[in-house]
Amino acid sequence: MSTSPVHYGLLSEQESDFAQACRQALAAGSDDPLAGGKDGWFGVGIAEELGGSGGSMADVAVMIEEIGAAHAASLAGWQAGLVAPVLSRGGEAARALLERVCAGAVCVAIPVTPMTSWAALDGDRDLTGDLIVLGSPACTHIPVPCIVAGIPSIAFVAADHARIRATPLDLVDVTRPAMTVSLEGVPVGEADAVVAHAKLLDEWLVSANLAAALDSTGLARAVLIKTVDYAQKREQFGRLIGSFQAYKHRCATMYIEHKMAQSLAFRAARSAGTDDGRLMALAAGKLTTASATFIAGEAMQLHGGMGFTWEGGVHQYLKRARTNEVLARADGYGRRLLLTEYRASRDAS
Amino acid sequence: MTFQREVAEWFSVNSPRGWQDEVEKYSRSELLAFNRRWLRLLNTKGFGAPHVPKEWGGGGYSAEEQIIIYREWARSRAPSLGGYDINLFHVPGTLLRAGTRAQQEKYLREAIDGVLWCQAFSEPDAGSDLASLRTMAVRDGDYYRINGQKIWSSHAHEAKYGLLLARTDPDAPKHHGISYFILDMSAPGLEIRRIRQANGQAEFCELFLDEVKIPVEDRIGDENEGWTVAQRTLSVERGILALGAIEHINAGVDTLDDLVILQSGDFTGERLMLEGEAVVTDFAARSFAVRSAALDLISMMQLPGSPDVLSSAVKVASTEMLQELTDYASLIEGAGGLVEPHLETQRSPLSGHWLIDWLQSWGRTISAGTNEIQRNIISERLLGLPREARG
Repeated sequence: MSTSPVHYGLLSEQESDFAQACRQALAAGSDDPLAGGKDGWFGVGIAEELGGSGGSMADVAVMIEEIGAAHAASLAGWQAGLVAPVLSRGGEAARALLERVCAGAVCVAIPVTPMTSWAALDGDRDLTGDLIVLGSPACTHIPVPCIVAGIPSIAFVAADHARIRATPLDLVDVTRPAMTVSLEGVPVGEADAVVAHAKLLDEWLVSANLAAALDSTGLARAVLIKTVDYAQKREQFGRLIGSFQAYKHRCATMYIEHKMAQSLAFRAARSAGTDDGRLMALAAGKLTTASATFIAGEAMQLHGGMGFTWEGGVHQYLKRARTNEVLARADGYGRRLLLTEYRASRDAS
Repeated sequence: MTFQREVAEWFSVNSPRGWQDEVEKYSRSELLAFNRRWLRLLNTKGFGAPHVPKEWGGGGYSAEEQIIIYREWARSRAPSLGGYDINLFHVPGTLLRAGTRAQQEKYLREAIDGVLWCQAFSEPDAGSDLASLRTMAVRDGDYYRINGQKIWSSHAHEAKYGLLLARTDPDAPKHHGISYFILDMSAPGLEIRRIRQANGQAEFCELFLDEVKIPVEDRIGDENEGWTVAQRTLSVERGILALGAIEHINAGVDTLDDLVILQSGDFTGERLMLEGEAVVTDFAARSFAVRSAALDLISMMQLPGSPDVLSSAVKVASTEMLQELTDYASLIEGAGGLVEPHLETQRSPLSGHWLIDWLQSWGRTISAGTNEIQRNIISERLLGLPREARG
């Protein structure tokens, strides 16, 4: 597979090979939410002694970007970019769960409902509440944000717990399955693992922002290429529509937005784990997801009538882009945290 | 001490105190003297031209070090170097790659030391379509005789030399009949007229060349190779030049945030943000993205054979961000910002006068290949869409 200027230009040879492997694997089963689990994708960024494949966030980034480009249902990106790093910071039970995540034996559903401290459940009582999650009945665990003894925590509850009802739900985003999860008095003590520390929910949001950004930059890349291909096939007034400057300049603007957003998302992945990395991840969660929505919207317009049809497929990118953006935004908390971090970085320098 | 700390300390110790208010009271000649003193102080550390080898008066710093220098410079709010882009970037970029040893010896150290140069490329009828330029250079023994007209030459009235493109073969295809020269701005037959700009200042000039003589040894590169030389030599400097400007623009986000904080008082929403906070947050994210892409551009330039897929995108994104930032800031600054400051000159890209900076921002979206031309380049060369019809 050749790359184009639209692709990220600073992948190492090893990363390029991994990207290609991801593309091939996704082409086969793009509607399976567990895709990649048995190939070790869920633990790509986790050290081998913890059960992972020993890669870095840069490798995770490559994988998530490819999943986004294929608008695949696979939850592998969220497992590797979000679930695994959080579990790796937990205690024995969390580590045991992590090993099973890395082996692909466990797949954690991903809440679209914000996982922030003000949205967290009261963990000093039995957990009761509703979450909208990305995932299918094949998902084995639900991460529940809660405050336990004043400490922000995430309880990883088995999806088949007697006091959980998970009902498949249609999202407007048709590329990924979703469910409504209702917790009806689940004791925190019955969770398979609980991870807790003061900044945990903020960290979850930071990682979710990064994963959403990488997914979005992948889909933006794919839909931009799709648009440019269309512009070189479709003729009107006796010429290719891509020869009209009005059309070309809109494509160029899509490219400019995409390249800025892509650079930021990959840089955020490569600096994950540092203070600067948090700031970059939040910025990418804001900017890259928004720019993908813009790009997919432009793609819809530039495909004309075909862009508006179900069959034309552009809608899938636009819906997924908006979903990622809403997920990263977390009802405004994402941007609030970004502003806080930005001001802290100003004061530090 | 880390390099970053060292640079930050240097700027905090050496940045002229209270310069922002002082320079606005200066006459033009006082300002030029101030700029020159500041450049020479910077040059004691090689910060004036960090990308240029030490033997020519630069700093010989690595790309990573240059990035740190520009960042700390902008953060410290020390003065930027107004008007020196051509002598610090274009001149070394050109002479180090395409100049003779004699040309380097004669011009380079002086240029880094602050002898002003200008650029004489555009013509009244050759703007975006630069290669259609018609200023003629006719060989006459050891000289060329130049006749024609140039426009948009910043600081030409103060410059000692100019980088000039002129046609040496009118019969060749337009890109293949151009040569590249060093123009002595005091040469007989050269008339300079200043052009007042939208923001009230007059740094632009128009040049009228009537039988101006240029010695053959002041031609850069081979005859009729001027277009190729200019394309090749100037592009190399673009990334690092952009980075310096981007750091100053990004520091403008901090300044805007100061204004927003001042205006928001005690009111900060828990979940929904104030408009100003939301705008600052978005600009901060954008500033990180543009910086990141500029750093990628520099990284890719260091990879041999790597195609340039970012310089047009960075040019458009950074200049449009500057325009949007100054647009918003000049709006929320309110009535006080409407007062004409009567600036003799513009401290670029941000002078502290948002409205003036906003007006000046079109200088960046239009110059160095308009953003529309950049969009043509992106759509044709990078995305492979059909080319525009060309006359």
